[in-house]
Amino acid sequence: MIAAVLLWGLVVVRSLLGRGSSSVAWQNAFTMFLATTTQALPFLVFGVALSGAIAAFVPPTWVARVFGSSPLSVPVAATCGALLPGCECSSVPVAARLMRTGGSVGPSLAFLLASPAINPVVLVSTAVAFPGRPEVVVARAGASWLVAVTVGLVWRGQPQPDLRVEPHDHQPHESKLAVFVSVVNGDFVYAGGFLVVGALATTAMRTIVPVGWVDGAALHTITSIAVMAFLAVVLSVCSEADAFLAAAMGQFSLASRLVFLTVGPMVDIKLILQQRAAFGARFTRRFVPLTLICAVVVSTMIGEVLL
Amino acid sequence: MSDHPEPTDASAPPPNVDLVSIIALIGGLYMIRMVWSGQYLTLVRQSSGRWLVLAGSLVTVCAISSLAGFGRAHDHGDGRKRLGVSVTSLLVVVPLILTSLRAPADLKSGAQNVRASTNAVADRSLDHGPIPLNDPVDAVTDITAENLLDRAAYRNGEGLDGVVLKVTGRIARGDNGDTTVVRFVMNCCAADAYPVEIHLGPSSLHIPEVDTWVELVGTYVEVRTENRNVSVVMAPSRIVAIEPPEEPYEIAART
Repeated sequence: MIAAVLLWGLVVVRSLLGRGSSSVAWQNAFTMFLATTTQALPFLVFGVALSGAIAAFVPPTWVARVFGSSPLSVPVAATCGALLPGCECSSVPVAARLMRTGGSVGPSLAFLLASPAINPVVLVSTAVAFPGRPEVVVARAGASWLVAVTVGLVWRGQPQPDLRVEPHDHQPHESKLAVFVSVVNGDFVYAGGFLVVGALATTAMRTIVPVGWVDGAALHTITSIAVMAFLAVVLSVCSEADAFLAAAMGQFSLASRLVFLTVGPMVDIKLILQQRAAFGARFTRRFVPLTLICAVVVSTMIGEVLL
Repeated sequence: MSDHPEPTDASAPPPNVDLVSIIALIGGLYMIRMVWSGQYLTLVRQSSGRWLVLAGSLVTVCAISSLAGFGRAHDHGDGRKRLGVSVTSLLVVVPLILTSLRAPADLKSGAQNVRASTNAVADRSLDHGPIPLNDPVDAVTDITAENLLDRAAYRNGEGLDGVVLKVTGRIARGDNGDTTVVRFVMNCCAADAYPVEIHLGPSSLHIPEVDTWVELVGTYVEVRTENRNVSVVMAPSRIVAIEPPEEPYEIAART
């Protein structure tokens, strides 16, 4: 985080003071940072509003029943992800709220991973970006769902993440609306801070890392998969738009582009930071590598079979 | 009751309720201000405006309600706090501060971080079908930069031969120092936008200064590919400086 902030300090100074051709890149970085933040904020608010609604209006017993400790609840929770029509910025506060409200860790994480990838908006945009190739949509939905369920099942036996401290429990006498207002404010401020850090880091990477090198990597299966997974993490493109970027990367095989579409909504810079904010550093250190490996392996296998 | 009781942190300082609500208020006002000022059009699609207003209004109302004593705001931070909120949470105010210091501008061509996400050649195996051409007005056919590139690069110039075209963009310098007209095409936000470069063939026309918005009228000549960057060459018959369009980016036709 400190590195991202320092890099961004450089960006700001260069864009404010810079003159000449080299300042164009820094001015573009300024625009990209604000664009990433501004585009994601409504989705984040949608997520924290849903989080507030769960805290205020959904009985914990209901959450505990649907997102309970039964193995079956993991695939059910992953499938429920299709009901949240947002991108990955929405899903983190919702998943954290599910855990706080009585949901078990495995199903909640399955929901976290599945919802940005298999909701109707994302699948429709994938179908539009890959016209006449419905197998890409099927492969994306299948791979994402399978990864979400696998990681959820693996995490069933693990301890619950170190959920961030809420300094005061909500009091029984508080009205439901007051609880909603309280959760929206608190979740928005905390998750929003990490969204800003994630946008800073993503923009800094885009500005610093030369991307021309990716073309050579496209020639080899292994390197193309590795590069597409890396780009998914670094570029942090919204899951509602990533299919269009993948469609334009014609130098890569469809299978490696499926890796991009599967990894991106589950593991990217701004998402990792939000997960760290919600679940703690210790959890993120184990959860992110597991999810990344699982996403790469599953999407590669499904891509080789279906695409 | 929860299966997993929430952790408590008795040592954490009591939250500064007002500061959390004030930060939320600033975040909400940022979203509303971006739409109010029109600056959001340099960053995201016009259709995102209503979502920004809706989200900004919700957060603003919640923050004001909390400041008025309704609903206690909590910073769900990690305990390492200054002034009652985590340091990271304070960063929510950064976008508003930055845009107050300097209004955001739309993307400019000629920088690596623009090409970074966009230097790919579109997948020819994906048959999108041609974007329709507009009916000509006074023998001139309006065409989007995206449509021009699509037809030129991936459809062998289908429908372009002998047609007088009009495309809107901004004057820029190409890698070789030649004059180009550039328009960015956006899918979701400026972070995923890519430039369509139109090189100008030989002409004696007056070329406006770099960064001037122009309407370029001319005919399609050829497609040019350099280092996997695909661009279009046109023979200009008229270049007219215009006021900057309300939306600096073209919205991709298939999003």
